[in-house]
Amino acid sequence: MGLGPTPSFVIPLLVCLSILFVAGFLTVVTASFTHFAIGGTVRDAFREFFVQTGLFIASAYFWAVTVWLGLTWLADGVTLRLLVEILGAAHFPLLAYPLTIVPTLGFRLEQILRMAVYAVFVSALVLVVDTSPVVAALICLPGWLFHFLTQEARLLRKARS
Amino acid sequence: MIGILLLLLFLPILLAPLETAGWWSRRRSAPIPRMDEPREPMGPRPRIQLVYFTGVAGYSGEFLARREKALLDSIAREFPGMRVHHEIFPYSSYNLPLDGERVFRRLWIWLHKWRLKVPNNVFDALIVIRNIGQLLVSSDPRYGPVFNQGLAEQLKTALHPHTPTVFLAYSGGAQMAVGAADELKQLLRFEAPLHLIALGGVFTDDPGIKAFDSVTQLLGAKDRWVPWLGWLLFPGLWSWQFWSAWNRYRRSVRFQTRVSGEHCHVGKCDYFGFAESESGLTYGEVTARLVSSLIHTRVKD
Repeated sequence: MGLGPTPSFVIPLLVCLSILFVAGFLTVVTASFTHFAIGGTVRDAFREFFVQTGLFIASAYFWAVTVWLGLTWLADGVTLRLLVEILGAAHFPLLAYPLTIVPTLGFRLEQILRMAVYAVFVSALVLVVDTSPVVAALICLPGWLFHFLTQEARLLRKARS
Repeated sequence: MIGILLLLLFLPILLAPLETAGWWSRRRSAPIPRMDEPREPMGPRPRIQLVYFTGVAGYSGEFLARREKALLDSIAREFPGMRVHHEIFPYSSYNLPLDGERVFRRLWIWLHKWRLKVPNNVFDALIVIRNIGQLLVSSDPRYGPVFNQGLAEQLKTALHPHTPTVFLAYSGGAQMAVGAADELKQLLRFEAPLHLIALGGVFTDDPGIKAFDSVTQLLGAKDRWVPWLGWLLFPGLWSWQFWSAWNRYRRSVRFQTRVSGEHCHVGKCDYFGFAESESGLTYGEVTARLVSSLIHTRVKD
């Protein structure tokens, strides 16, 4: 007996989850390398890897939850599967994150990439969930700010310490 | 093929932070010198100190082009009791010249010999790219503090702590001076007045500029685009960012831009040139006169 045809939603879901996973991995590895360049010890870099992994997962969850709550509150309900797909696809710009190790140019690129993630997320919500751009931008803001500020503050504090 | 070539050219910039990381890992394991610990005797206190930072084509602190030496000698003659420091290589956080103990030492030595035979040849670009990488490290908010601390520590061992100090920086040397001065003042508690005179200086939006009591940018009439390269990369220099450290400093009385003459950035008419300018003096002499008069004014203030 065969397993039957694969449901049509599985492949897009897997692709989006893969993007999220690879983008997350590249981000965490690159951020750990940057910390190594600032901190100068391998031990520091490993510790940073675990901290960054935790932060990335936590901020992704936080972002998804805040968006889901926002959309549910506005009665524009969205399925969890669709939300995960949008979240994954929105992290596509972070695949270029390794380029951020380039001094100075990389620092600017890092900020641009994080803003691009926000822009893609908002655009996807507008298109897929049929929300107004202002509402989508407001709903996405808390999760993105949490992610952006924790990462930026951590990086700059480390450099100054 | 072109892609590979571009990648190879870009590689020194990509790997630039690693040099500082290597230094910092060694530096961390060494005991951190206390600020108030006794220093080696530095000889009699000079009247003024002049620190010269060369441009991004620099090779080492000890080696200077004949034209650069002539300019420094000419300035030093105007100020008896002045101590001139050019021994610090600004494109290394621990003052390691390109012919020091490095992985690519042989390459840099070969390029340098080639340069002495054929000045301004195409291979000079490799040294320039390598040093631009270090300049970008110095101006990066993430890597910069560590790099600049190293440079400041090198300066601290050379400079007398209570003597007015003038930085004379050519081109990219201006950013290195800005980065180091901030760390000198903040971290190493250097108390004497600090002044910067930049010759076609390339600035970034490094907030360290506020460490200087005065900054004078000398720009030649033909030096059109190199000093503006920083403007392309650093939004903090854009005038609409009126709150940035750079723009606040530029609006203050401490910052001045002056036209130095008919200088260009690189070539016979540059700030060190032996060629005769329209005034009848050589380009180097015009620069030396202007820099000397600025030092007189600044140090008297």
